[in-house]
Amino acid sequence: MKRVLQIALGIVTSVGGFLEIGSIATAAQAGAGFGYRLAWSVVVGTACIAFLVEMSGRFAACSGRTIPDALRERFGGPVYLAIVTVMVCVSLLVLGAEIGGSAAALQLGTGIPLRWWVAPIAVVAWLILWRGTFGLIENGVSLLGLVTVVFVVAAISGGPDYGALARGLVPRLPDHKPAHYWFVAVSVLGASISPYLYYFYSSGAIEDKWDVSYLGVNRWVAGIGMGFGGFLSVAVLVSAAIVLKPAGIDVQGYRDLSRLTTAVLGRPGFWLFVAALGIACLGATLEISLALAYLLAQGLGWEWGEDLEPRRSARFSLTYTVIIAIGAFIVLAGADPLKLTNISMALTAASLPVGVLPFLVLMNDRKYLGDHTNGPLGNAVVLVISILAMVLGVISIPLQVAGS
Amino acid sequence: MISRPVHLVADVLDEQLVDATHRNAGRVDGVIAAVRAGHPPRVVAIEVGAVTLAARVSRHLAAWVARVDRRLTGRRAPVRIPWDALRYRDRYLQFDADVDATPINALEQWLRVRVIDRGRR
Repeated sequence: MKRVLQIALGIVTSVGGFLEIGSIATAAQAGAGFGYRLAWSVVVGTACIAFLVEMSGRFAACSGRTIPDALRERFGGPVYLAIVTVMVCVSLLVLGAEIGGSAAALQLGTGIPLRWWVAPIAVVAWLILWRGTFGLIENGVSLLGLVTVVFVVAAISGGPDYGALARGLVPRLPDHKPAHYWFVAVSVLGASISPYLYYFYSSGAIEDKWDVSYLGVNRWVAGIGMGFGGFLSVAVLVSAAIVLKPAGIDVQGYRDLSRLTTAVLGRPGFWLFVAALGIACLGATLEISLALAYLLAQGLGWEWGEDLEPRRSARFSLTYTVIIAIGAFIVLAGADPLKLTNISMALTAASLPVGVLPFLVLMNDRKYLGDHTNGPLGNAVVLVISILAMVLGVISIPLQVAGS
Repeated sequence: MISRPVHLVADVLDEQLVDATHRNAGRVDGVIAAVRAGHPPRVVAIEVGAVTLAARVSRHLAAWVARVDRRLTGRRAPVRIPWDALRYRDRYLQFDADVDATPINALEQWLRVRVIDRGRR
């Protein structure tokens, strides 16, 4: 019974923590620009992140080690520093987008300009990390994130064309705007396969003291949790295909995004959208800040742990403090949060192999996994999708930048 | 003291260090060997610190990190732990002292005392 509850809670928190500004904005752009045609990119991205999350939980449960710890030990300091540099740079842009997303939600709700909300959001996020526990972040914020289910209600209420949606699950070439089509596809992949998600999940497994008896829980949580998370992203795409595409609305701002729920659910839909965007982005802000602090502290051998009081892990606590400040600064410096979202998601996709390939090497090393190393299916799915994302990113980002 | 044969790169370099109370105390960022005429080199110490790690990437990066490290911690050289003071405990390398009593945790201590404790008052 205890395990069933663990699985249920894990699935619920995974679903609640899945959507953030990246997946909402990119899925909406996909639906608004290309109808159901890009649904495949959400499914491909979700499959990849489900495999990666399962692997990261299995790695923690079997080896008792964190991923940065093993990366440093297996590949050495210089390679570890190279991986960290790329991941921190890209994730800081994503963090800026998430803080901007929360601020945009408050702007929509109050009418007060976005820039006035950036500092309060950064302070709230920092206070939650400083005073809170891992359980509060993992369960509390993610449970609140279940409000994102409003996108499913909106999509079903809008009466989707299920036949077109089914056809969209099969990858097809674009019928117009090919550069933009591939750029949006790459952004959707980047938003779905965020490396911070599996670093956060793996560190959580260590914080929760998982061992091999948790392998079953891990498989269910990763598979079903991420699967339902991907379902939410598809719902956003479907809503956009129903509401935005026929009206010829391209997603240029957050107000355009709010039409996804208001068109079907009216005023309550607007407030549910504001809550969903604000909570989802705040949750992602917390997860990214913690994931980067974990990445540095574990690789450099510091004391770390969200459940340790800050004075017992001062460098770890300072790291997430500085990271939140930089994320807020990026938005305050004038970066347009929606453009920042697009470019950071595409860069995430383009840089995926940097973090993913060394991780796959670890996942096939018996020294860490014993008899629980990867099978050929997991290796193939993650390898092919991450390299595909990189190739598409390297080609489509310059084309999109040149085109715009 | 480590009595069994170890592979310096696979078993020592980049390994997690823990102190006498099993608290994380950084990683082995460098290994120091004494070169002796007519004899094989002998490992005498390990080094812990960002400057040593940066030096494995580039000299310029190490010089820049050294300037920042000096400003933050007042440290003028990486911390060295004698080889004889190390032993394996589980999968970690352990030294027999409190990490807070060593310069390894200079920045951690400074943050604790000057920033966190002062902020609470």
